[in-house]
Amino acid sequence: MSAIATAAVAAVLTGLLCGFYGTFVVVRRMALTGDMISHAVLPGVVAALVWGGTRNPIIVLACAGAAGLLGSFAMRGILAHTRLKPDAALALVLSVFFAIGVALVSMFQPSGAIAFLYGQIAALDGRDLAFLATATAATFALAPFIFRSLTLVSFDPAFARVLGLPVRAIDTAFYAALTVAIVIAMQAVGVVLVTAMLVTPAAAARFCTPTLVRTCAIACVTGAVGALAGVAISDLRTGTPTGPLIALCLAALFALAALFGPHHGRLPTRARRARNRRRIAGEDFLKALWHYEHGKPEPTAPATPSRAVVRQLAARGMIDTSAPAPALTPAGREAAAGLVRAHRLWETYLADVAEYPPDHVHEEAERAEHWIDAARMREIADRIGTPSLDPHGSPIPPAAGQPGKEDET
Amino acid sequence: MTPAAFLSLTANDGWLLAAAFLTALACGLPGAWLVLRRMSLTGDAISHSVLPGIVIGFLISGSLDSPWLVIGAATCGWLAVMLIDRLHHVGGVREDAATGIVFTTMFSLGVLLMRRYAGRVDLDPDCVLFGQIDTAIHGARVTIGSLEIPGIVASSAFSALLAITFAAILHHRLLASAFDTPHSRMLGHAPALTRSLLLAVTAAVVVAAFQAVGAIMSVALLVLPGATGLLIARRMPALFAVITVHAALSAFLGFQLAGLANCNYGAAVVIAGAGLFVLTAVFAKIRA
Repeated sequence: MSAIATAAVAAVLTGLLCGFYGTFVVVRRMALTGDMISHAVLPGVVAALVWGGTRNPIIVLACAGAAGLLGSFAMRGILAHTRLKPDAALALVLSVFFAIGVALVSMFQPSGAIAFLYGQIAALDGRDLAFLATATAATFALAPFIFRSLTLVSFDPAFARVLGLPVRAIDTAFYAALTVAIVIAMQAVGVVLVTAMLVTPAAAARFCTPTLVRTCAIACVTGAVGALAGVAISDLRTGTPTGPLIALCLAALFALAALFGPHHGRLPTRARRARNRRRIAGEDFLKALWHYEHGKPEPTAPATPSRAVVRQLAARGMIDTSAPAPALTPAGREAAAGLVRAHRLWETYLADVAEYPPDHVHEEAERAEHWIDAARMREIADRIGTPSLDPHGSPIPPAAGQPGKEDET
Repeated sequence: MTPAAFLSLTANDGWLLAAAFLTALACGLPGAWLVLRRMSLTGDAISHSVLPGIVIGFLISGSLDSPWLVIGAATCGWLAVMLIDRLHHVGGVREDAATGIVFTTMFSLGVLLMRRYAGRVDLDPDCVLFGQIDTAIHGARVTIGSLEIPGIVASSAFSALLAITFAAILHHRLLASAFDTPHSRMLGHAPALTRSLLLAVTAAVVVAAFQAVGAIMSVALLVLPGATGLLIARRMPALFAVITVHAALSAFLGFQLAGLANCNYGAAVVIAGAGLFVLTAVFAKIRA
């Protein structure tokens, strides 16, 4: 296989692997623990390179795992025996273990350490690739079986224990698998940017969907696409380092997701809010026209609607704008009556059932009227016995389709 | 007989010790406040995020000892913290994930800028991870009065001076805002401004540490002295005393260690500092 093909395959596999574990890293809020592990394994990696001579992935992984375990112990020790907080403990373990790794590198100058420090995806050989493929295949073959338990343990360990799941064993296995993924990702992007491989795809995926299974799937795809894009750009512009390019491609994908993601993305959220604001302004305008027709000015005058709101109402056939002054169409009158009914029903409910003072109910109802649909209105009317007058003595319009008994006009 | 001659140190060794001590002291002062405020990982994020600022400052000035580096680094450090805040509060991304995303992105930008524009000049890519205190000591020298001192000693002295001034002038505001933010606000101290200043000074001292020991080991210089001090000190003056002693001892013991093991001096300073931390923890445990 040519170098670029090897790099491309390695990038996709690493992206998939990191996307999967990264999802759980993000939902467990251990992004910086992942960062700590990636620095803590360095002394082990260097020791393996010095001791093993060649870059045997199994030896490297064993030593890296041992060093990572040592890092976790050091952290637990600091938390148990000093007053320092987790953030200081993390920062200490991360930087001191890295320093030990750097000292070892400068003492023995092992060949291959550069690949772990800076990431050299193009330097991966067939053996690395086979190992990477095995790890990814094993992860995704096991995924259907472990996903549920891992989810439970991640979100609610206490409940998982009640269900009889071996929580500690699952946690340990997750840490071990995460360490494998981190050591693999280190060779692709370098020690500092492993966090980007783990965290960025999963954080991007959370903007796209509320469910964990889809988050995981999207994170895997994002990771693979970002890594592949980084490799491709670095191949086009020879000499640019791959690791930072991959991290930047992932960051770009994250920015896209944060802006356009359908679940809490910035622009969809804004659009939804703007739609709601326009709907509420339109409904307030309909109500104002209804009150005007009934010769009673509203207690609180609504803001003058924007031209867009008026146009939208006209397009929906709610108002007639052919005359200089807009007037309600029959459909608009019905919609407005529904709103007034919702408003007055809710006022009555608050005053009679929730025992609000009658002079406190209007503002509440002013907000609630826009969110009470026909079914909820029926429910409220049944609860309070279908009254005909609200707490202020104004008649409550009947439900749509029923004969008007209140209309004195 | 001078003390340096007593320890059979050459002039260069003396400068090396001075640079390490001043860098450790400069980082330790704002670092202690970061540890107290539980913002150690913000220190981590800043130490990585200043890289693009350093590279841009270097490209503007063409020198590693220019104030542009400090300005660029402080701007980037502040930008990183702002971005993390916004991602967390506006975007709804969890804080740890936001930190991870922002610092890796800024760091990548810095590495790319460095490779793209500064590859031909003497900004060494290895310095990002390893620091270059060993080699920089032989580098350019600046003349102050009749004294000719290595550039890295001058810049670390400058950042130590900055850190000491900052810690002395703002001591009461830092104290109030770290332990009791509402009280600080009532005193008219503007705790948010104090926090921003702390972050900016952190970014500024990290510039010197970055050149000396690299991005990741500067985190150790930020956190280790303060963390060691908090193990035994009960009051702020004692904490600052421990920080100073810790900085001096790690510079000296690190020097011995580097000589013995023939390894990177910056890493040796950090390992010596970590050893002091462990000893202090054991001592505090026994005494308690």
